[in-house]
Amino acid sequence: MKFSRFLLSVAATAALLAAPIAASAADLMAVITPSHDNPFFKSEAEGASLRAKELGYDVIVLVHDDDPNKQSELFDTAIARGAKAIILDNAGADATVAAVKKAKDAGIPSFLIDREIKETGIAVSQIVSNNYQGAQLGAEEFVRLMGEKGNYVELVGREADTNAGIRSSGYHDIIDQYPDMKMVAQQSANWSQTEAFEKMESILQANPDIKGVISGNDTMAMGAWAALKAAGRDDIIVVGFDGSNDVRDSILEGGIKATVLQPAYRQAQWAVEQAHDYLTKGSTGKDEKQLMDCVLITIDNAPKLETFALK
Amino acid sequence: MYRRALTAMCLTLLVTTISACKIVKNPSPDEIASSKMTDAERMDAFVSDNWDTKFVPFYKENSHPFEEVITGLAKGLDDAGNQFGVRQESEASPWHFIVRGNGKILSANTESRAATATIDATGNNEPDFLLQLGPVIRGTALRDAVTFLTFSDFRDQIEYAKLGRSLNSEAHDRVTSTLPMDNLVGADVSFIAVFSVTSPGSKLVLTPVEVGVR
Repeated sequence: MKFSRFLLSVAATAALLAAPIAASAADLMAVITPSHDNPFFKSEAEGASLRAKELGYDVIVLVHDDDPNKQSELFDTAIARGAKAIILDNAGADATVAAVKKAKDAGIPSFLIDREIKETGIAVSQIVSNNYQGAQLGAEEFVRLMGEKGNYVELVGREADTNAGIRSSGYHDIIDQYPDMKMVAQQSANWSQTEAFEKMESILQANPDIKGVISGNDTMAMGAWAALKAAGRDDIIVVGFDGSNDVRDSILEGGIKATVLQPAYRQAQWAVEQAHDYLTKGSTGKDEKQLMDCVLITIDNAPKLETFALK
Repeated sequence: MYRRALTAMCLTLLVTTISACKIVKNPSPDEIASSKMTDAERMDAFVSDNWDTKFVPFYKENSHPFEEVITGLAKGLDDAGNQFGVRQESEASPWHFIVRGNGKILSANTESRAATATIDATGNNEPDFLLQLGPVIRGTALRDAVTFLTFSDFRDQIEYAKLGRSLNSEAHDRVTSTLPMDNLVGADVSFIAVFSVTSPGSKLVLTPVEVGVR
């Protein structure tokens, strides 16, 4: 099984290698992210590819589906195709270290976006979304909307994903400073809209006296909001995270109350610019680890939000 | 046999000496990173050990008169930032300003756990900023305004966030928790405080480093 996949990738690599050399001499940049099913990662991939093409690179866009083994194979592909740089939103803080090191040993620098890894000195840049700070912003607004008291529910993301834990800790870092805020249920809906809908329905049945729902991302917030609306409970305060267009529209209609924007598009472009500087000047001129702050989105600034960027 | 015993004895001595050396005052972030405390405990210890000796002196030395800074801000954020502020090395990061001054407390919201007071520091009887009183103190201005620590010095965003939280708690415990919360309105106040500005014209929320109320 493994071997045949290897053969396939060798064959594919050979075919791919032959084509661009004949067609043009442009350098190749590889963009590797989680699945584009989540518009956040799609926006990252688009931001990176467009900027790379503007700077004269050929681009391959690859998806690891949050599977470290698949990510490792994609790194092999990028190395085999002679990529000059890799732009990566990674599949795990620990598991990714080996893949990035493999590329480094092959002379290919990696530029990380969104999520960080647990070692420094292997990637050239780690432009980290400050999920913890973003979660604190979301929680502060949530507490304010709740009047600093009442029963609430937390929907958590997929447990294997570092950011699920980081966001949850950030939420509680703020909320737990308010003794009259009582969490009556905390469940994972695995980042999924349908799962959040189902979980919300049953949580609401067991706890009709809830006043608010804080969600680890926007897709789960959308699912929870749909369930609450269907049950005639649009009085309940919902706060999400990511800054998606769906939640923006809900905020503008008076549905979900707030979300937190991670500037995914710009962050990806910026990583490409740093990669370009590194390849052309030998240095990015920046520290390896750079923290990019998130922005609270409420009805005040929601009209300016478009595809993970504030206009 | 004798030699081996001697070696063992030396090793034991060496180990004891090393472990004895571990008890030190004012550990650096690297040293305390290797201990078995949680992130929050480690950062609390670090901040509490260094608040008087490193943090407060830094804020004092790098503070500017409040009126000069807001006059500068009125002309332009980046100009004021370059002249008076500090910014972490990352795109779209806010500017952080450390200010000192005197003023009068116009009003206080002590109902919220994130209590605040409005302060007039320019003598026109209009509020110039909100001063955070806690116990919940928001933001990371105290952390981000120091230049002797950066994100790269920490394991990840969680440890770095705990540093911010520890500094905020320290500010509440040492600075604002002793203020006469029921008798604030109308009082004269002197302050050293820090604030962050992301976009020009946004409301100023100051985090206290030193506050005197008369």
